[in-house]
Amino acid sequence: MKILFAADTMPYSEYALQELINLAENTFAGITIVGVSRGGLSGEVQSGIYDSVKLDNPLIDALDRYRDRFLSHWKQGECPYEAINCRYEWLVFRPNMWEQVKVCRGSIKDLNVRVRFGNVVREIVAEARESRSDLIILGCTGGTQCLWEDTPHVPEKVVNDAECSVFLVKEAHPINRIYACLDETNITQESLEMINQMATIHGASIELIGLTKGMGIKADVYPWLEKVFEYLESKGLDVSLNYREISDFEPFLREKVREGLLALWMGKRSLLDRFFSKSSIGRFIKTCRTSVLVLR
Amino acid sequence: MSAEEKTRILILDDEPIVCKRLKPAFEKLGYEVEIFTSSSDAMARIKEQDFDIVITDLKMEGVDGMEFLSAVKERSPATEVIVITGFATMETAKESFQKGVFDFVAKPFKISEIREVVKKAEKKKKEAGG
Repeated sequence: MKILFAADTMPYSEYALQELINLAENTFAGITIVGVSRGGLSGEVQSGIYDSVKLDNPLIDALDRYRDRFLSHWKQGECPYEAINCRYEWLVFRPNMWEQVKVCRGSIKDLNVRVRFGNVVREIVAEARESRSDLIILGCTGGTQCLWEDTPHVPEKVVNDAECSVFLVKEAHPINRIYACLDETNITQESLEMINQMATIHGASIELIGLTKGMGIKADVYPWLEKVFEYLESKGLDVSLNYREISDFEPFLREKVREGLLALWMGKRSLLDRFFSKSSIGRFIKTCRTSVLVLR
Repeated sequence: MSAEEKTRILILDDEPIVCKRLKPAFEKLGYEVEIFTSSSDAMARIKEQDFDIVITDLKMEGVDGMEFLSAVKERSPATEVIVITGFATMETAKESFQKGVFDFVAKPFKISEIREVVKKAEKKKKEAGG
């Protein structure tokens, strides 16, 4: 598994980092931490080491801080990301000049830290694609908001535009129940494994919610829901299965899903995708007070 | 690629869907693939046939992935073993590396991720003259 942690300088990113650590600790996933600067710095620096050009950029400092906090989570000698495999590698220093530098790779898996420049959403989505990430983790403001401080609609737009799953970490409360809403047959094995990971890491129970329209459910979906139920139960998880009308979905999110984690499958054949516009997905995320895991 | 030249891969995972996913993906790339959902059946097979690459889950009923890794390496030290697991610990990782595992891939993974690891394992084997 490869995880992309997209961060800015705000406290919700610090909080989301803890979820990254939880997942990394249990999966040894390949990790990339990325920050996106909306401009300025890249134009001033043509080449060279950042420290030598003496430009202040709080994002760069924040990324350093996140890396340190991530690595310091493990005791010495126990961190799968500890940079101990050192060797010389060629670095493209600038066009027409390469330099050999000593690079230390992680003991088992790599932790990469990157800063990109430009449109925040576009760069995060591009980084996820280029690093072949399975999951993007990003924090956002809590309650009925789901924003980034400087570029407010980043979380919503990343959810809409990303090709992989997205974990929006909303606020500091325990994930003791996962509301997993699904309605289609083509959900992936990876997404089921992701739910398994989340439930196991947090010791959470799972409420599997089959979404229906007009009290019906697609004929091929019912046996599939049963299979999903059996799969999760076979993993020793505490699972229950319920059905809910798609028209009641938003009130359900507002009134019932007040703690835990909401997991939504957003495939092309999903009722959610067919009956609600892209902007509605953003509204669901805001309506729901909990963190949200959008699975693809 | 003739049958003699094909890289032979054994895949062991007690979840049939994982095997079903990986088999056609690797066959399409020209590998010869055998899949097993039972570790005892896979154990019997490695006694009959050496494989170039073995991909195994760690946590399984009966013979677990660690025992299987040991058995593969004991019989055929040149076989590169890739461990896939849903829940990793430093202890199991260390033990796997001590036993000569090639790499550790966390579930869930994309086909492209495991394909990259297999290609690296194949390259290592070729460089070693295997």
